[in-house]
Amino acid sequence: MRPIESFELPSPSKVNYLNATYGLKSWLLTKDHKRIALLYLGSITFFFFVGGIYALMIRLELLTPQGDFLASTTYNKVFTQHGIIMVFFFLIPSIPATLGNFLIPMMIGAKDLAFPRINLLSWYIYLLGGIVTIYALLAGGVDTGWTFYTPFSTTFSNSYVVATGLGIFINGFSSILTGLNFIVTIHTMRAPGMTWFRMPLFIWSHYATSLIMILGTPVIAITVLLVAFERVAGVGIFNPKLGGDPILFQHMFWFYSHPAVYIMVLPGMGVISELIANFSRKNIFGYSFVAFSSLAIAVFGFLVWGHHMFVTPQSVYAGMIFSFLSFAVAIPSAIKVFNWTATLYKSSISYDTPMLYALGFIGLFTIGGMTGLFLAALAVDVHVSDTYFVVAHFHYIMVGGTLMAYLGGLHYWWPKITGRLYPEGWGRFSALVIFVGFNLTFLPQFVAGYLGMPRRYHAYPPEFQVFNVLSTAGASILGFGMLIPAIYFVWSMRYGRHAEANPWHLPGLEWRTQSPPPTENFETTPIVTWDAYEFAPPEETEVVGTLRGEYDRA
Amino acid sequence: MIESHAATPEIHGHPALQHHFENMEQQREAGTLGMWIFLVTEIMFFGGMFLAYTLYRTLYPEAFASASNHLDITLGAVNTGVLILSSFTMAMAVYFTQIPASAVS
Repeated sequence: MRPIESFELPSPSKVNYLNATYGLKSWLLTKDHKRIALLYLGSITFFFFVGGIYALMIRLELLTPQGDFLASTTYNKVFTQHGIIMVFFFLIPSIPATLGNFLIPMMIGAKDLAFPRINLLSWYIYLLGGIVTIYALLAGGVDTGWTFYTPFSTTFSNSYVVATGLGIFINGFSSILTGLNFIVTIHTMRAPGMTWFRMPLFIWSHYATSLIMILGTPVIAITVLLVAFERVAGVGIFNPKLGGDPILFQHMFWFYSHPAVYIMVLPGMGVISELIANFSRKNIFGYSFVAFSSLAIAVFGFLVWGHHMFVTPQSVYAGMIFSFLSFAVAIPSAIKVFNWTATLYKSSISYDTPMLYALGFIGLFTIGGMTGLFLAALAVDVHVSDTYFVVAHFHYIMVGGTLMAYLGGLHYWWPKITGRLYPEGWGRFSALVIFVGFNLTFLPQFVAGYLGMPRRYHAYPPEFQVFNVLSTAGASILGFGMLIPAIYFVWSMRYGRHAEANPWHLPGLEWRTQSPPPTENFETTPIVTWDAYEFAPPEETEVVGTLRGEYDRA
Repeated sequence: MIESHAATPEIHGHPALQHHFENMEQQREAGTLGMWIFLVTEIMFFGGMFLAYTLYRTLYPEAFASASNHLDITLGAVNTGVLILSSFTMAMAVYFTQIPASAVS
C-alpha cells in the first residue's frame, strides 16, 4: 500500500470554479454542479433561519403554562409553518442538494452530474415552490400541522391550505429531479476503475436516498393535489360526508412521509461514514454491510408507514405487521451504528470539528432510534401517541441526526468548497455548544411527553412547566450555537487562511484536485486503482504528528 | 482543460457530445436511463390517483356505473384517438432519428 503522503497533488492554479467567470448571470445560468450546490446552500440556509424563528416562537410560548405569548390560532400556524419549512425546504434538500450535488461527481471522478441543465432546473423549481410557500405564509399562513390531516385540511381549516400545498407540490419536483440526476450519474458517470465497491459510502447512501426520492415524492405530490382538488372543487375524496375516506389520506401521506424521514437521515449516515473512517484513519469496518444497509433502509422504509396510524381504525393485523416491519427497519440502522463503533476501535482518532459532530451523531441517532422502537410497539405507541415523546423522538433523528451530519459535513468539506479554512477552535466550541443545547432542549421533552403532555397545544397544566423551561433554555443555547458557525463561515470566505488541496491528508478522490476545484473538477479524468478509505498501515507511514498538527501548518 | 483520457478523438469530437461526457455511448446511456427513471416517477404519480379511483370504484360500483351513462361517447373516442395518434407520431420521430439518413429515402 502506498503511504498517504505520496499523493500527487496538483500544482495550485489560480483558476477555479469560483473565479472562472464573474457576474450574477454567470451564477444564475450556471450548469456547474458546484455552483448549483452553492445556490442551494444559500437558499436552504435562508429557509433554515425562517424555520428557526418559528421554533423560537414555539419555545417562547411554551415557557409558561398559560397561552399568553401567542393566541391559540396563531400558535397552530406557527408550529405548522415551522414543520413545513424545516421538513420540505430545509431537511429534505439539505445534504443531497448541497453536499451531494457538490461531491457526487467529484467522488466518482466525473466532470459534472449527468444532466447539468436539469440540475439547475431543480434549483429554480425549489425556488418557485419556496416563493409560493412564503406567499402563503405572508398572506395568512396555514394551521393544519405539517401533516395536512383530512378532513380538517380539506373541509374545516380557514387558512391558506391550497397555496401551501401548491408550494409543496412544486417543490417535490425539485427533489424528484435531483434523485433522478443522482441515480443516472452514479450508474453512468463513474471514472475508469471506480467500481461499485470502490465508491465512498457517501455515494451509496445518496443512491439509496435517490431511490426514495423518485419512488416516494410523486405520491406526496398527487396527495396534496387531491387535497387541493377537494378544497377547491368539493369532490369528496377524503370527506366522509360525501362518502370519502379521511384515513386514505393518511395512508397516502405516510407512504411518502415515512420514507421521507430516510430521505433526511440516509445522506446524513453517508456523511458520518465518511467522517468516521477518515478521522479515525482506518478503513470502515464492514464496507459492504454499511453499503447494503442503506439500500435495505430504502426498501424497508416503504413498508412501515402504518406505524403512524396505530390509533386510527386500521386493522389490528395490519398494525401487527407494520409494528414488526418497523422493528425490522431498525436492523440496518443498527448495523451502521455498530460498524461505525467497530471502526473507531483501536484507530487513530483525531477530534477535529467534523469528528465531534460525527461522534455526537452516533449518540443522538442511537437515542432517536431506540425511542423509535418504543413507538413501533403497538401498546406503548397508544400511550405516547401525539405527545411530546413523539416530538422529542423525531427531533433526535432530524436535528440530532441530519442536522449534526450536515454541519459535520459542511465543516469537513468547507476547505474544498471555498478554498478557505474555518477557525478550528470556534468550530469545536460551537459543536459542543450545539450538542449541549440540543440535549437540553429535547431530553426533557421525552419525560414531559411520557407523563402525558400533548403536542400542538399552546397552553398546558402547570406541572409540565419545569420541563418546558429546561427545553426553552436549551433551545436558546442551541440557537446561539447555530449562530457561531453562521458567522465564522461567512467570515472565513473572506478572511480564512487558504486551504491546500488536501488539508486533512486523506485518500478520497475529491481531495486529489485543487481547492477550490476547477470547473471540470479534475485536470484529467482520474483512473481509480484503490479502494475507498485505503489508508496505509501505521508502520509504513512516517509519523508526521497528529492530523491536527498538519491542519495547523496548512 | 486538457483531455488526456479521451479514448477515441473522432468520437469525442462529435458535435452533439456535451462537455461532461467522455463519449457518445455514455451520453446516450445516461439519457436512456434518465428517461426510464422519469417514467417510474410518472407511474408513482398517477399510481396514487389510480389507488383512490380503484378504492372508490370498489366501494361504490353502482354510482360509477350510473355516472358512466352520462359520458359522451364521441368526445371520449376523439380524445382516445388523439392520444394514440400522438404516441404514434412520437414513436415514429424517435425511430427515424435513430436510423441513418441514407436508409430513409
